[in-house]
Formats: sequence, structure tokens, C-alpha cells
Amino acid sequence: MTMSLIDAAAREAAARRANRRRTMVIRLTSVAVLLLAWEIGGLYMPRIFLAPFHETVAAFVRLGRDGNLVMATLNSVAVLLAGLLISVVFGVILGLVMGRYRRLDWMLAPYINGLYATPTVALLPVLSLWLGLYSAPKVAIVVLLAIFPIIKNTYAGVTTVGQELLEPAISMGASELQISRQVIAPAIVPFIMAGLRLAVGRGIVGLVVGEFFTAQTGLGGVLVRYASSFQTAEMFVPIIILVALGYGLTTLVMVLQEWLAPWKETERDQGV
Amino acid sequence: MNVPADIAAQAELEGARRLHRERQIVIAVTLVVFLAAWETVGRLTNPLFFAPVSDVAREFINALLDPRARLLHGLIETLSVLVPGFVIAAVLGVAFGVLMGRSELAYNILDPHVTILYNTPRVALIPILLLWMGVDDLLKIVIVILAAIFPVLVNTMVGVRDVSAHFTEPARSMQASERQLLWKVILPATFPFVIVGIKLALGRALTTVIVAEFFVSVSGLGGLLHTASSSYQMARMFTPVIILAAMGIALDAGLTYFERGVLRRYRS
Repeated sequence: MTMSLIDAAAREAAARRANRRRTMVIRLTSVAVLLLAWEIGGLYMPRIFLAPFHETVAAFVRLGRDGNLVMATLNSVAVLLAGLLISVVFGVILGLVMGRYRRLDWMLAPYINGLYATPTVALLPVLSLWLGLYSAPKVAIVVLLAIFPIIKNTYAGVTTVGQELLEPAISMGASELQISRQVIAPAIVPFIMAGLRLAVGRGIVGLVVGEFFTAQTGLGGVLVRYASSFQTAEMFVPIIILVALGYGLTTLVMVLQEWLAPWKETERDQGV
Repeated sequence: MNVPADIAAQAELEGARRLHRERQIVIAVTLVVFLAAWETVGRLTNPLFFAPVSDVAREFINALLDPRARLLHGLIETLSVLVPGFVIAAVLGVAFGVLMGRSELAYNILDPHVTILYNTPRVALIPILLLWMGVDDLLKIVIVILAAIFPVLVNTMVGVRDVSAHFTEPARSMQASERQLLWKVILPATFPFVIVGIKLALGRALTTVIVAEFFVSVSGLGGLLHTASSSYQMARMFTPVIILAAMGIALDAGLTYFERGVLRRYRS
């Protein structure tokens, strides 16, 4: 009886392992087919449309040795991180005060909701008139895209901290500061992180648009330069870096959430 | 016994009403302060950089009354890219979402590509698509599809998986066919997820269409904006911004209203 149970468990585990292996094979095959199509397409199509995949790989290595690509990447990362940092600090503060003080909520909510629904990239021409062409308008457009999900999620977190959490704290004589730090802060971390995850994706869009339309710097600038000079092997290099950047930052936020707030998985993915 | 309860209820109602009135007053005062500040700053700064709100309003009315109807043309140009792109994205997103939610094989084949494209800032693909398709409306429609499809797809997929886990067994035990299961059970129950995806997709589509209009060919509302800002006509520049903001807010509010109605129907 016991033996057969163990047997069954072992067989099940083996089946699961085989299944996982099969899944991996399917996924890798799928990616390989796409890359093969890219390679063959690149070999037969005119060069100004598409270069074969191996040339993009070669370009990646070549540009990686060249300092310019590294500088452009660092430039983009600096703008993005500055924008995200500003968004987190001000977004959390605004979300907190709006969630705690009703009148401030009434005052600010129409503007914040309105701007959240507005495609704020439309403000880029004004921003570059006001702030010049270099880093300032780029950071500003990243903030204008990234801050709203953070405000919204922090607000949702504060307003949904249940009475069942607040009342015991109040009845035990906790001060406003203690309530903020020991009850509200831990409860809203998962909300802030969910907002930050949305903010990363939107921030990268802001970064790229900023780099396209103000002074062409960073990865967006590199991309435009290669595309407009028909260097089809090179133009995929900045895109690959941007994808890795987005994926890496999103994963980082998820790891951070696990580490800071492993107790609760709450998401308010709404309205990007 | 009844009387005090009535009085309490009335007091509560009175309190709610007072709160509502206070809220309206706060909103109105803030709006007045905001407009006054805009007007003052606009009058004090160099007109090359900023315009007072009165000028913006005048320019807005002029644009509406413009006999050449440039604003209307711009709006139509933008919508003629946005609407087909968005509809195609929604239909394809739901179709692929259902496919990936129901079939493990399809999921494994497509998921790596979806993950990569979802993490690609779609606006970064504009220069490449420009190379492949030229300055055509087709490019703009394609980029709108690419921007809008993934939130719909991923939300539909998550919804289908969630729903399948709960409702497949009961439906099967009542001898439902795969087709009945899909149309009568899974799709209706997935609908709230789809709407959330569509709401997310809307903002992305709007952003992308403007970037495309900046970048590709100066047309539509983005084009009007670009022309006005590059000739430093500050007051004129705000008109398309206002229209775009109104569009975003109205579409979002409409979808939220629709979502609430749908959710209410589900609950009952």
C-alpha cells in the first residue's frame, strides 16, 4: 500500500518533469523558428528592409565594444531612473495625503484623473519649449507618464486599509504617526509596487518618445540614427536593450515586492 | 421607537448632503484659483512660452468656427487611424487570448513572443515600421494595433484560464460541447476581464497615435500640435491638447460606465 503510493508519487513527479521538458522544447522551438525566419528573410530581402539575424548579433557585439552604445544606454538609464524616482516620491506622497485628507482629495482628484486619461506625450512640445532639449524635458515626460499609476494605487491602498486594521490601533491609543508608520505603510506597499510595475512600462515609453523628439540622445536617439540611415542590422540593437531594460526593471519590482511585502498580493492594474 | 430612527436617518442624509455641497464648493474654488493662476502667469510670461487661459479659450473657439475646419479634419484623421486600429486590436486580442487560455500548446508557442513584445516599448518600433511601410496610414494603424493588442490579449487569457478552472467541470457534467462551453460559459464570464484590458489598451493607443503623428507624417491632432508648437503659437497649441484630453477622459469614463453596468448585470 505504502509502496504503491510512493510509486505513484514518483511516477507523477516523473510525468510532471517530462511535461515541463516538453513545454521548454515547444517554447524554445517557437523562438528558434522566429529567429530562423528573421535570418532567412534577411538573406533574401533587400538590405534596407531587413538584415539577417546573425548580422544583428554581430552588430550587438561590435557596438558593445564601442563606447558610444554604452554611453547611450547609461544616459537612458539615468533619465529613466531619475524620472521613476521622482514619480515614486511624489506619487506616494500625493496618494497618501489625498487618501488621508478628504478636502485635498476633492481639490486634486479632477486634475489628476484628467491628466491620467490624457495622452501626456502631447505635452512634450511644450515641455521642450520650457525645459530645453537635454535631460530635463525627458525626465519630465517620464514623470508625467509614470506618476499617475503610483498616485492612483497608493490612494487605493490608503483608502482600502480596512477599519479592522485601523480600529484596534486607535483603541490602543496609537498616534497618527504610529498609525501611518506601523499600520498604513505596510498595508499599502503591495499597492505601491503594483503601481510601480505599471509605471516602469509607461516610463520607458516616455523615455523613448522624449529621446525621439527633443535632442536625440540615449537609446532612442541611437535607434533613430540607425533607422534613418537604413542600417538595419544595427537598429535592432537599441531595441533589444530597451526590451531587456523593461523586462529587468519589471522583474526587479516583483522581487522587491516579494522582499518588502511577501504577505499580500494585491493588484490594481487599472487605466494605463 | 420608529421616530428616533427616522430622525437619525434624516440627520445622516442631511450630513451626506452637506458633505456633497462642501465637495462641490471645494472643487469650484480650486478651479477658479487654477484658472486665475494660469491667466496671471500667462500674462506675465513671454508669449513664446506660455499663453493665458483667455487666449487659449479664444483660440479654441476660433478653431471650432474655422471655415476651413482644420481641427475637424485633424480629429477625423486621428480617429480614422485610431478606430480601425483599436477595433482590430480588440478582436485579435480576444481571439488570441481565448486561444492561449484554452490551449496549452498555443500558449507555449505564443507566450515567449507575447512576453517579448509586451516588454518592447511599441513607440520604439515606429522608426522600423517606417522603413518597412513608408509614411502611410497603414503604418499608423499597425502601430496602434501593436500598442493596444497586448493588454486585451493578456487580460482575456488570464480571464479565460480563471473561468475555465471554475466552470468547465459543471458545464461538462451537463453535456455541454466545447463550442457551447466557449460561447455560453467562458466568453460571457470572461467579459469583465476583457473590459479591463480594453481600458488599459485605450490609453496606449491614444499615446501611440500621437507619437506616430509627430514622427511619421505631420497629420491629425498630433500634427496640429506639432505645427503650432514648432511655430511657437502657444495658445493655438493648447486646442488639440484639450481635444485629446477630452477624448481620453470621455472614452475612459464611457468604458468605466459600461464596465459598471456589465458588472451589475453579473452580480444579479
